[in-house]
Amino acid sequence: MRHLNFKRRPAGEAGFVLPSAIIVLFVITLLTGAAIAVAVQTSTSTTRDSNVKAELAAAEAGLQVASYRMSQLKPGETQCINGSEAVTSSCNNSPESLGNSATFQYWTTLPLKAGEKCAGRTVETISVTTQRCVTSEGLVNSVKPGVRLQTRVTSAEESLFSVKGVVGLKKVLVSGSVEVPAVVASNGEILGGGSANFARGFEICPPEGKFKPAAGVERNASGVKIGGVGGMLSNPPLEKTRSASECPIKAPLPSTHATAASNEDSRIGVADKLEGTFTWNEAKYELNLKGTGKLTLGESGRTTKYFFCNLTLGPKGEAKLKIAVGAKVEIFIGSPEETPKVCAAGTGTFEIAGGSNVENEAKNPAALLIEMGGKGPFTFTNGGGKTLEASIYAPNAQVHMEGGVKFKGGIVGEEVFLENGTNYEWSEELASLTNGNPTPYGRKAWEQCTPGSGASEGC
Amino acid sequence: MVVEVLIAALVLTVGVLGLIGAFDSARKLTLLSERRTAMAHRAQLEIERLQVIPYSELAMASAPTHSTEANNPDYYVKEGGTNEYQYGAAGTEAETLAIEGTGAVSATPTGRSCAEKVGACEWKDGLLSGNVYDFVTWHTDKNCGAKCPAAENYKRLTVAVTVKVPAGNHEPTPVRVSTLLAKPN
Repeated sequence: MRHLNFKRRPAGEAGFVLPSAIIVLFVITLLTGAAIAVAVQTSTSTTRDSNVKAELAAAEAGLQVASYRMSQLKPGETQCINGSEAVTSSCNNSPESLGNSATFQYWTTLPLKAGEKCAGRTVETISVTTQRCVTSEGLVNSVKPGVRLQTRVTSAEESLFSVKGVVGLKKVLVSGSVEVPAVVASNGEILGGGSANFARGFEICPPEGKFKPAAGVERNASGVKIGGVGGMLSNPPLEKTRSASECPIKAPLPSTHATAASNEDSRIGVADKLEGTFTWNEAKYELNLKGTGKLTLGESGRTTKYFFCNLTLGPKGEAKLKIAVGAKVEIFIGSPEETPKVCAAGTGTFEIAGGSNVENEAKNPAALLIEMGGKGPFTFTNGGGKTLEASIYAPNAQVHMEGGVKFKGGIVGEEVFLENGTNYEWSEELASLTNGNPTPYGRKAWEQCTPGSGASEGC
Repeated sequence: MVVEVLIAALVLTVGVLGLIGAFDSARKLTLLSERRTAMAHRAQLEIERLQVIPYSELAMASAPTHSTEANNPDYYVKEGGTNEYQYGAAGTEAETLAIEGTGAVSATPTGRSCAEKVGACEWKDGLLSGNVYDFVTWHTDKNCGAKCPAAENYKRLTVAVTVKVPAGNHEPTPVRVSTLLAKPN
């Protein structure tokens, strides 16, 4: 007979516990491994993220350095820069250390042309402005790909007329029934007399700069107005003391002006029609148009440069100096103080007197630039309501206008006198006149490049 | 049978203890990562805040003091009142601090909330908090050549961010980010 043994374990349970524990342990190990893998991955990502942020700062440093060096090294139209000089090829520096395992490297370009792309935008031509592209890559702890940034930087040429109006480096006198609808600026005194109205106010540079009559009793005793405000009142928005960085006002002569050795005076009487009554001493660079004397200067579509020691229109008759249609003319009046001596003593002046006139058909003051190297003076008097559209740049000379003349353009002189019914008008067209010196490069557009883009200067 | 159960229990115990240890390490590592992420974020934010300060005002309002604690960013302020800051790993990688009374950058973050002040400050982000240290130094461009000014071509901005941790916790090393700023037009 078969006995039933209820105490006996089922045969299948033998050795079940340990394998089960091992299986559980295996699952636990897998979970643990996953947790550790996630933590390690997070840590790696964090480290990379920190490095990438430092790379961004390093790349930004590269952009700053490249722009600064371009401003200092002033590469020409066919040049770019490497680490230390203007060059025509290999427009990049070697990687430079920023400390803490960070480095940067930059690439610069030649001047950009319209239609080229930089920093994600298509370049458009800007007048008298050089545009370049700068790409910079930052690397920290050799984490690649590095962060790459790109900017478009621009440098305009400095305007000859940084103050939109009248500048007398040492003195400006506005007297009589004269309204100046533009800024009047000086490092020294600005004097108002009669019923002068400084419609756009004045700017002075401390410590020498002063405006007279001063607001209050002094001004109240005069007929002078600032922006239409006179009497005891001042007009603070229009009575400006320039900041230290804006002072003193400087006006260096451009290096590109005509000289005795480099000019186009030979055109006078040949390509440039000279007729009527005149005296033209080519050897002494002295021209006097008198009576019905008439000279037409320039050639359409280009700039023509002339050098004179003396240029006189008048004092009698109705002499005429004409600027050819579409031409740009630059007249430089030499100085008798200059060595080697070219101009005779007593010369160095430009005078328009009597019924004489300058006829600038384009009515554009930028079409006639009159520069003076010496003490001048430049005088435009007794014009009987006639108009002169010109730009006068005479930082060492006196500039006199009086007797009902009308002048449209910019004036820079050492001492400027606008008196007795002078009618003055500023022109924005003068922005196109520059001294050839580039301003520092400034940033106009910025882009962070796609990670890993470009083998060199690409973005 | 009893032996089998005991061995299984032992194996499981060891396994669970290991699991707990591993999870704790993973937690600590993740916490460290979270702290470092917050610090890096704060450092970048501070660099960007400093970059919009006018160049002329970008200077230390007073000289920071050297710290003897290696984890304090002021540790890299040179001793002896030379007003120099070590921006790199080597002792020779040091520059003169730009210090001006009207400078916008405070020498110490104490009592300055980052929500209100630019410059060195105390930051708080959720459960995390710490200090931001800013250093402004003069950087001379030695590679630029003879056409560049011989000294003080740029200002170097160095931001170091620390985080406060409970006692006994691993303190992450400060996150340091550095860039250069040229004088604008």
